[in-house]
Amino acid sequence: MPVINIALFLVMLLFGCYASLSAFELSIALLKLLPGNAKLADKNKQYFTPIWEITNVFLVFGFTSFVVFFNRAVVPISELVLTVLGVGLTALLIRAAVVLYGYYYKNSQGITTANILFVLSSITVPLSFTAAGITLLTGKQFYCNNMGWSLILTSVAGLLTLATSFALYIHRKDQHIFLYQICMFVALMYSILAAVTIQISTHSVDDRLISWPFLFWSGLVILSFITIALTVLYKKLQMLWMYFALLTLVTPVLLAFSNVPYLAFPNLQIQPSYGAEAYGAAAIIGLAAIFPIIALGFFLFTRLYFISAKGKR
Amino acid sequence: MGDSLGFHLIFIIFGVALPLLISGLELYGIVTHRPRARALARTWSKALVILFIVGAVSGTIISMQFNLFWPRFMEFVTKPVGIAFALEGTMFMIEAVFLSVYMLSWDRFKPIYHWLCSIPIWVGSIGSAIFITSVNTFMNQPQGFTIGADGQPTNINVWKALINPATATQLSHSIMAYICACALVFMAVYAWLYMKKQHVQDRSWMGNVIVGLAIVGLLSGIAVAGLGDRSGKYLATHEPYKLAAAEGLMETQKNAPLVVGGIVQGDQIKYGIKIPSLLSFLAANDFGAEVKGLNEYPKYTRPSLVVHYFFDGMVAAGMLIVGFPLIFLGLYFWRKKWAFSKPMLYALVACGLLGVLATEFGWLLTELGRQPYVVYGYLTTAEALTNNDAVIRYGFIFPLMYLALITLGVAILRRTMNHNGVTNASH
Repeated sequence: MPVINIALFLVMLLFGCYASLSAFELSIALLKLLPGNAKLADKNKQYFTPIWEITNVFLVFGFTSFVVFFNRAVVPISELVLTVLGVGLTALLIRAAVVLYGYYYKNSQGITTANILFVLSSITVPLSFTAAGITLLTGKQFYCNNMGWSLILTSVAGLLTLATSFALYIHRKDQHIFLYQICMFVALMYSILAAVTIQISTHSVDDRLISWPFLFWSGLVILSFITIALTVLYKKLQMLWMYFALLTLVTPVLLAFSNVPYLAFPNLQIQPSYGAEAYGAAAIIGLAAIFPIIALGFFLFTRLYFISAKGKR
Repeated sequence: MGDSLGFHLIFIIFGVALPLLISGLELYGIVTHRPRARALARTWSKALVILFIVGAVSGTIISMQFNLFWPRFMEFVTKPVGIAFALEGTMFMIEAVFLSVYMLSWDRFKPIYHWLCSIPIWVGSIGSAIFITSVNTFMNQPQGFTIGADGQPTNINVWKALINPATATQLSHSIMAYICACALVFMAVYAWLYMKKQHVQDRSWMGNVIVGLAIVGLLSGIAVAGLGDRSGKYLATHEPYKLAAAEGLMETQKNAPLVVGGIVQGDQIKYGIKIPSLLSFLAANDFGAEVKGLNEYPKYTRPSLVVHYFFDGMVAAGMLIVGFPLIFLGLYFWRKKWAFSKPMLYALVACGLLGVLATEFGWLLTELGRQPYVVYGYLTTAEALTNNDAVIRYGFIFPLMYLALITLGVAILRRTMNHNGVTNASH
């Protein structure tokens, strides 16, 4: 596998990680909308840990890696995606302000302006990156073509499905029926919208869309129907959120590889855009070497997160 | 972009230095069996989380702005020093993961194991500062490459690019300045709380905290002054245009004077107090040494003399932040009552603001002193900017958002320090 493919895979995987984690963050934002008591507010508050800032690290990592590996394409791509990503950056700032506001008013549960802003900003950030990806995939802004619209709506439904199913899972003892109905609705909408996207793409004469990564993605989308059905049948919510987390993780990778030989359709090819010959391989190996330390931290964090405070000293 | 950097710098100060102070305080509490010191470290760690959240967001914004607003800059620097960006992100990730572990394990690990968890936090924070500052040193002293036919760097030597003549000076000066500013801000907070609290018990332990922080602030302040002197000599040798602009030195001369104060008018500084030969001494430890003036450089490559204000501001603030804690400590050991008099406490509160201002002025001097270049001698700031006009819109949106963030951040910190700063640590 040439280094250039590893580079593209890594970059897109980082964006996939970001998309999944941002959906988990969205689930916390959605839970704040529920009319609740101090217990619910306390439970939600414990999810505000610095670990969530790692979500942003994936974003920065993804974008920086993209720029480092494909630095010959930085200028045209930044000009293409500046507007949509600018909206995302503004949303990121709004989200941070709302998080701080949430810290200040600790029991702020329910449909308040701050909580609505929290939900909207939490979904806008990953969507702005999706919109940027659509621009690279279709060569146009998402609002200028049918494929763009169907992909962005699919993304909205996908993020909401992952967020609501995860929210239901972490509050599974509380039996939020309305949230469950919303979850199932957005999950079905995701499958339908994804099917529409595939349908639109098959009407295209473009060879990129009959490549194996796109076919593989299509297969995963079809499987989502079965996952939804099994979730309803066996009432196993973790099945749904885990599947959608996987789907969210691999979607940027598969769609980016289906775009090859282009990095940004139709003018920028991937080969001439790659400019990290100096240390591409060294950077990949170096980053991989640091992962054990990060893994140790994650291990400790998850252990601490789920054990009781009493008697563990 | 300047608004983002200026805003983020406030959080860099705390992000880099506070983990080190907390770790030191916790270790002190463990070694000397003082639970109150550990309780104080715990309170500070809560403040660190709030500062970390805001700092992480502004850091993310800056990273994206570099890529979106300055694409030609990123295109240029990613080849020689792009790896520093990646390593900075990795260090930040280590810091974030272990900060979560650290916060969650206060009552769950044995004290010594808990303290061990603080080490990756400050290693990560200082590591990320080192890598990102290395990129800035490259911008000041670009080397380790040749320019290819396409105008882009080629034949790259990453180590040479990262470890350039500016690296040691700039890294040591900036990181020590963060430690000094952080200690002074916390000293200011406790000086303020001291004035507000009437309870004798509260005041007693707060007095000890203020003394401890004043010692850290003073020692680090003296170190910053020493490193600043080295920076001056470095500038005279490697970036003489910056030193000349900071002192309004238009002509190369021996026995160059140091200008204090004054008003910048075009190509000169008027009404300033000139101290004969002092600039020569600061530049080379020799009153008769020759100092390069701006006449050595083409007019279009000269930085604006406005940096003189930042240089003077930095030095003046630096002198005060060494002077006030020194007077406070002198009084504390001589006439304790005078040390905690209102004028002295107000002076200590001012030290907090002065510490942050000195750091901001230092960075303004570094960045504006390099203009019109963003990578000195190779890429101008105007060339580096994107052609997309949408960038102008964000020039209005971001400062407003930063204002909201800092207001909320200060409100929450005030409550955290007011509540936990007293209750946790004093009882």
